[in-house]
Amino acid sequence: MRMIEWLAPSNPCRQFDGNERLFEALKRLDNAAILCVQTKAMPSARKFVQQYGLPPESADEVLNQSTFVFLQKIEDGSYQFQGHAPSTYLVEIVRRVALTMTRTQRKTHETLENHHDLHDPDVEAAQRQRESAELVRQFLAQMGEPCETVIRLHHLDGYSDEEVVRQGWTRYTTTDSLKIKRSDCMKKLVQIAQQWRSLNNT
Amino acid sequence: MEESQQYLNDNADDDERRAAAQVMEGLAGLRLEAKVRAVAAERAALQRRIRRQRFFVALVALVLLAGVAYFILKDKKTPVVVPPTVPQQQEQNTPPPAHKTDEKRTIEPIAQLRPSERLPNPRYAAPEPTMIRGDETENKARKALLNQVWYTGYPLTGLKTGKTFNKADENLKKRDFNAAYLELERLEGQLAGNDTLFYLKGYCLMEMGEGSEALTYFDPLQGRHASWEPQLQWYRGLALLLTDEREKALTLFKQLETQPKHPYRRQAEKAAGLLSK
Repeated sequence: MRMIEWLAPSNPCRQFDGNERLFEALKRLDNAAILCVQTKAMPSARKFVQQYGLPPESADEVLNQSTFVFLQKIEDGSYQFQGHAPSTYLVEIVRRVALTMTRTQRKTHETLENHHDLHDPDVEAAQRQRESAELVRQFLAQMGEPCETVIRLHHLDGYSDEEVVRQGWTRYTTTDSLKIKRSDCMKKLVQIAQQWRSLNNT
Repeated sequence: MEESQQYLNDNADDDERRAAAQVMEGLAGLRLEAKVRAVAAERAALQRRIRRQRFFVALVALVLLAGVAYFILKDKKTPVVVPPTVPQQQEQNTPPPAHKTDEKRTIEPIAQLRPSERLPNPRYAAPEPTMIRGDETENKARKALLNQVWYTGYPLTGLKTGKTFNKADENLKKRDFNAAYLELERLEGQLAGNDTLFYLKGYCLMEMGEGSEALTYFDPLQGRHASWEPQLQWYRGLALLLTDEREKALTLFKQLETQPKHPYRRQAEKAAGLLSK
């Protein structure tokens, strides 16, 4: 059986029999669904990378950044299912991300004045979010335990409070105590962010 | 997911609200980053698996190709037998009228014919066998049988004759067996116990219808030269038929027909069939 599985053609899209089901899975951030659209978009990523003169090994990075933007658009609701294949939308994002990467590379050689019209709002929003993510990562590290774990389990890993208590991943034995602790930790996190903002005049 | 509002103080100002919004945005970003990283790892694993699959398929294809090539080359390496019915190139070599029109058949070596093809009749008629018994009807039947299985030819398979045998060789090619015999007799005085001489003389005597004499030359050669062996076995069978030793001949032909690669397998099959009737 394992041999048959090993020999079977690898198609991550096999379990999604329609675009709508695929989109629903993408909304749930299902790994197989993301892998499915990435597999479909990968040839285009390689093509754009070659077309725009980027190094061939950057195709993976282009696809990862594009996936980030794509999932962000699904999460914030700006991409809605309209019957089309979600991979078509991802391919469009791949093109824009590849183009932005090309421009970023060129910027190092040319004056900034020539590039005032080169903004891509979606890509820039994703960049902003990545910067915020990096800051939050630093703040969480600064807070230390147990806040880091309590926040990570809920906000990053997506576990329910019941699951966290059942598995005993924290010292909190009831969902209420876990919720209270997380609320307390989040308030501290906001305070740290506020302090950082005032120090950096943002 | 919880909203940022619930982490704000009651009297939260704009700065605090913006900080909370940034925290929530950062957490969402971290979540997406982790997801993208996890999927990228899965993608890399999938690509590795696809590469392994392609390598495996290529390997299997290569092995199959190598197998096919091996069988093709192996077939080519099987002993190249000088076809028993290949006609002599000399003009004076006149084949029997029954085969004159069949140009293609005379060119194609019998030993290399495909199994689906019918075994053609022998190129040459058998010699008159030495009459042992006086029964004319029986002798006629024996001659008819010999004519059907007289798959002989010269040069002899695997035999390389030196300058010494040039004259005998020329005569055998011309199928002038009497002249060849006289030359071989002359050489026998000089080359006693020479295997090439024995084989040539045995063949010559067989073509002259002297089965018993031919066997005295063929028998000592058995198992001595691998490249001569298949043809020698067949000629021994014919020599046995010439001496009317049907049982011995039949036993020998049955042995030959069981060897799939034997160049005279089909001839032996035919001879055994005729003898068994």
